[in-house]
Amino acid sequence: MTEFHLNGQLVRVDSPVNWSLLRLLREQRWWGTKHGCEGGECGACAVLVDGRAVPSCLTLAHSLHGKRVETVEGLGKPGDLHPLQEAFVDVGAIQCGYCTPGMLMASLELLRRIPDPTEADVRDALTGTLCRCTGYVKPVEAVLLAAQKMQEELS
Amino acid sequence: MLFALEHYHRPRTLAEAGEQLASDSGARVLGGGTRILTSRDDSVRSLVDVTGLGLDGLELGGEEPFLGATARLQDLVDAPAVQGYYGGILSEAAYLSNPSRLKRNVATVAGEILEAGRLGVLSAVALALGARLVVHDEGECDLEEVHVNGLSGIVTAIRLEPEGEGRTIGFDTVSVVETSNPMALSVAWVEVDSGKVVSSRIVMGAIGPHPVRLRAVEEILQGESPDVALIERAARDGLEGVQIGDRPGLSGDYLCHLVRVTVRGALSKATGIVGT
Amino acid sequence: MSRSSQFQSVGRKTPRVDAEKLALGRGTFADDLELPGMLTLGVLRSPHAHARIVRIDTSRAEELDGVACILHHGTVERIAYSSAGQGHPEPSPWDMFAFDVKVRHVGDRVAAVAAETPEIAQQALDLIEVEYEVLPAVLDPMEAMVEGAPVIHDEEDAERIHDANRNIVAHLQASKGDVEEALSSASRVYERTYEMGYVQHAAIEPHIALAWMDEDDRVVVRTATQVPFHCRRILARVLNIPLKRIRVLKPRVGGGFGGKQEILIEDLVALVALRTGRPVRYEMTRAEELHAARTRHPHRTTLRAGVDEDGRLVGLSMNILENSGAYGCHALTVMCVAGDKALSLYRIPALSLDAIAVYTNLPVGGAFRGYGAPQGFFPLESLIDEIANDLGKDPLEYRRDHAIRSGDPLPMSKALGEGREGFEQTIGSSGLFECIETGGASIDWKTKRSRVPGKGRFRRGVGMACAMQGSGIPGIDMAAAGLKMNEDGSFNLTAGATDIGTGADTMLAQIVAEALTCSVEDVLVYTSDTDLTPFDTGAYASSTTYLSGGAAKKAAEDVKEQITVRGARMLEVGVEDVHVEQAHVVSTDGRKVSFSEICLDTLYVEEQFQIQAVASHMSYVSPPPFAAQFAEVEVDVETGIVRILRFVSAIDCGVAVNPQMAEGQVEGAVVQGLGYAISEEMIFTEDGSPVLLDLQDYHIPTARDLPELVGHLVETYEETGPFGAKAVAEIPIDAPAPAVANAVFDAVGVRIYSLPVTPEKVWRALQRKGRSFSPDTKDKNRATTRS
Repeated sequence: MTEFHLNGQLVRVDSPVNWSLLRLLREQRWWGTKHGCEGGECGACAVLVDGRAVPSCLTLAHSLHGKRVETVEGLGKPGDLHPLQEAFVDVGAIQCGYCTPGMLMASLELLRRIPDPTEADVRDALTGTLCRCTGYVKPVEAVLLAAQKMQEELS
Repeated sequence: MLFALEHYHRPRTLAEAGEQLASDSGARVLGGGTRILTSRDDSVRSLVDVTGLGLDGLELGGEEPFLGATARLQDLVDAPAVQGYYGGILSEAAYLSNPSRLKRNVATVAGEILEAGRLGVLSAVALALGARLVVHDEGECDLEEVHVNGLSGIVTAIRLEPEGEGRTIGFDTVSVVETSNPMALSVAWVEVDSGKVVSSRIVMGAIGPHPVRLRAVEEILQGESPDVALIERAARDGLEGVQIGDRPGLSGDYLCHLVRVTVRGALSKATGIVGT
Repeated sequence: MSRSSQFQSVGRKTPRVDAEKLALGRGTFADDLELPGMLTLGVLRSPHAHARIVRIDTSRAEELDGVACILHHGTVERIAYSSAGQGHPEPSPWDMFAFDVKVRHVGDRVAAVAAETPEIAQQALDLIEVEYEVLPAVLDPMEAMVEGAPVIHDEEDAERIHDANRNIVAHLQASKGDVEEALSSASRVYERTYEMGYVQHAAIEPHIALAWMDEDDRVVVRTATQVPFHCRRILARVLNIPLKRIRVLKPRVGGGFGGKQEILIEDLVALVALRTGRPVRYEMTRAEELHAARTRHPHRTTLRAGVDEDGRLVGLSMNILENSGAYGCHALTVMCVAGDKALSLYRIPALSLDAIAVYTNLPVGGAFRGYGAPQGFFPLESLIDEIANDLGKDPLEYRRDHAIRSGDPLPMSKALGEGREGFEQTIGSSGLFECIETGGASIDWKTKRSRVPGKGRFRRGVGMACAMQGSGIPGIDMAAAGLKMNEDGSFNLTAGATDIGTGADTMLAQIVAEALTCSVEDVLVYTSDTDLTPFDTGAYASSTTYLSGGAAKKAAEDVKEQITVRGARMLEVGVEDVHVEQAHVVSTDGRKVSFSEICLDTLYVEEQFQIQAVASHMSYVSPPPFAAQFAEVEVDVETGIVRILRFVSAIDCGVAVNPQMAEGQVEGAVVQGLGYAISEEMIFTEDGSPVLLDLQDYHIPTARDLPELVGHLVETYEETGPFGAKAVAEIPIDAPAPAVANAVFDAVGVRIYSLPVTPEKVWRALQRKGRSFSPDTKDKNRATTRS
């Protein structure tokens, strides 16, 4: 039995030993976390574990005992989007949308660590979440815009 | 995915981890998991997770610098302790060792150094810094030996050469685009005393499964005064015997040329001597 | 003022209709669905490039607990088909079978297992014993045509292969004027051969399909496809069941780029569902994607061009040798596009094309964004650059002087339809000149071209290339859309159009909103369900905005007419005394009635009927979008490494229905094109095994690998397009590669004739240039002609 916090809720799961967190999430119908390679290369499955953005395909579900997991489902709600989500929508950073949840989670880690990132910081944070649609131009723009908005809200 | 995996252990002590590893021939050490969890190795029946044992310290200031085995690559990039050591070389190497921040967040230092990921910068830098692996219950062994003989047991830390007067390091890497696998990679660590090279480790990475020392280059440097001509000679003559086979998509003679360019580049960065 | 500024919805940065749910990670993709008792499918793939299956023994796999179904050539009906996912009649040969006794490339299907879990499926695959008779393999298309080469398609029952004994899939010839005559009278003739490598789509969502039986015993396939209707038709053939027993649903698709035009996996899940009655899911692994999905066709292309004393182009001939891999998917039509687009860009009196597609024992070519045009423009635009330099002319001006103009005929459009004769066409809108001017100014062409070359290790240069594409396949592609009015004044739009991340659903909503003067939010878009939406050929050939958009506009205009009539009647005036404005019918005396009131009236009050319309759209013209693209590079002369510093695209896509989405198409296509230009290539061992099987080794550009990307949309108004629109999705991928290669020449004076422009190729070319390479002279004009 593994006990961990998923988007703030304590969950208890009894999953097979070889299941990754990615598999566990999807078997539980948490569809937000995507899968593109199961080798940690594409980043579509990025989630936060204890605040760090990690590929959930490389995280054994059993290793999560006592940890805090955050997925895209914890970020915002319909009509109440997180500033990152809002920015991705506004600047047109979403094309097919498959890499979007991973990009959002990688960006969330970045903005918690560096609230006013440079473009280079953003590009580094997004290296690891591959996108074949956007050329990264608008996602980078979106993260910078979100950072700016979140800073303004604070001040 | 590990199809045959039956047990996941999270020991509370090193001793417990050692016992769990010894008790089952199908048991393997689990660090960040970037390699083993994607290996599809059906001989793996249990995993002993060593990431909760506090083996993630980074101590680089004193006479006995070491990297905790389960420190993450991203810790090396970020940790202030790392920035002062040889001008932040480990930070830069860890950053380049994996382009993905997500993977740097999980990959451990020991895993990266032992297995030399495809980008392999940290592993090559560690070899140039004379890395010695501290193995639980077995003492220390040299990274170069491990490359030859393999290793069983739990690595707890990696010891590195301390900084010192006249000691410098530099590396040079070439890849098609910034985050693709390097075609060639070289690291130079040199110690100069009274204007002469008294010791050096010159390492070639990216070619073959592990980084290797280029001893012929080191011999040319030994006892000489570093200057442009010496660097040229070392990169040329020191690599004469090096044979690199063709790879699909890359010819051996081009790779040899790139090794020469990067050895020169690494020596240049280590010594601060820039050719014309 | 641009003509698009008169519009209310078209030409605006409307957020995507689906962006919010995607940002929330809502379950909208094929795999985001759980069905009770769903099986997992796995595929056993060939380890050999060419072999006959002598024996296949599945008995041990069958004994395994949890195995539900095993498919192989002994258990599945043998029906020749093509997975190419094209219209009827299919231009690609029927040269494949769901399972065959032969395997023709590493990764070809051998067997499939459906089981309770992925673990059991894998275990069962491991237990299948296969005995192969390994056959000699041929990997080079030139060798494949030689007498005595292994015959890859020796089966009797394949259909429409051009010459199976010589491994020739298709042969295509077309001409205009007499090229030989033109070249023999030319004052200079240039002949060059170019090669373009294997690349992969690498959509982040792998191929994924689910299938289940519904309560009427019909098979439902939920698949990440670009062509739901072709999928249904082709499944009916390969499964040998009536088409009406199949329903194909396209949910959200995680990127296609042509790779999901292929009916690559749907037959497998459908077969399992039909046999077991249970839901089943199959998703290709990334390694499978990287060798067992489709690729861009490698081309080896020889161009011969002649110029007269004034340097004007008088003749151009193009010979293509296409490597189609193990099957002939899209082999013919990709060559048609390569020839048609590349031979049409400049005004040249005599033209000819001779193109041969050949089987080899390598992965299979397919549709890939640009669809032959990138393979046509790398040779063309490299050669034009070389000729201009050789003649001492500015390549920008040389291009402008020869470029096709509005009113010019498209010289090859009749000869090169896709797989059959096409139609005469002339250019309507063209912004090519403006693209060249705008892009040139943006990259600072004049200053940078006259820059004194550096002496150091790193040298900079700029290069450019132009291109044109089409907007749908003329006379072949058709799109239909239905529109139904609801009593709150909203509309349901149903269309066969297939949004694969391109923004098609949003674009359609904008077009309907524009036509009806309503808000985009009042258009509810439902697409790509073969039971419920009208037909559409699908998301390929840059057809969606032009054709599906055209259909949506027609349907909206029809609905608007019905609304107007009822509105006038309610206002008790004639239809000539009303107009439609902001979702109201307004009379000349200022009274008005809302859409909602009108719909309530038609549904409940008087002479009740449903306001609705279905419209189809096809076109005998395919107006080309144009591009001028510019690269600034820095070349390391020690290693040959090329760093792209800046990339500028100026694109004419007519009126951009949604400029923000059009920019996104440009940015994404450019990045994919830059991968093609310098870093992406599928590599194989001598025995045809793939070497690069994950996304670190097969390296697609990451956020850190990219230069500054600049995009300019040069607006024109295409009279035949919906609200002036042409296509945008493919055109920006056509010219990055030649722009980069030309920039490399500008920087260091060497021409690279093959893609990708790898460091080793640049280094070798610099070595060959040898000691004559002097860092002090930028000897651009010394390139000798090989005539």
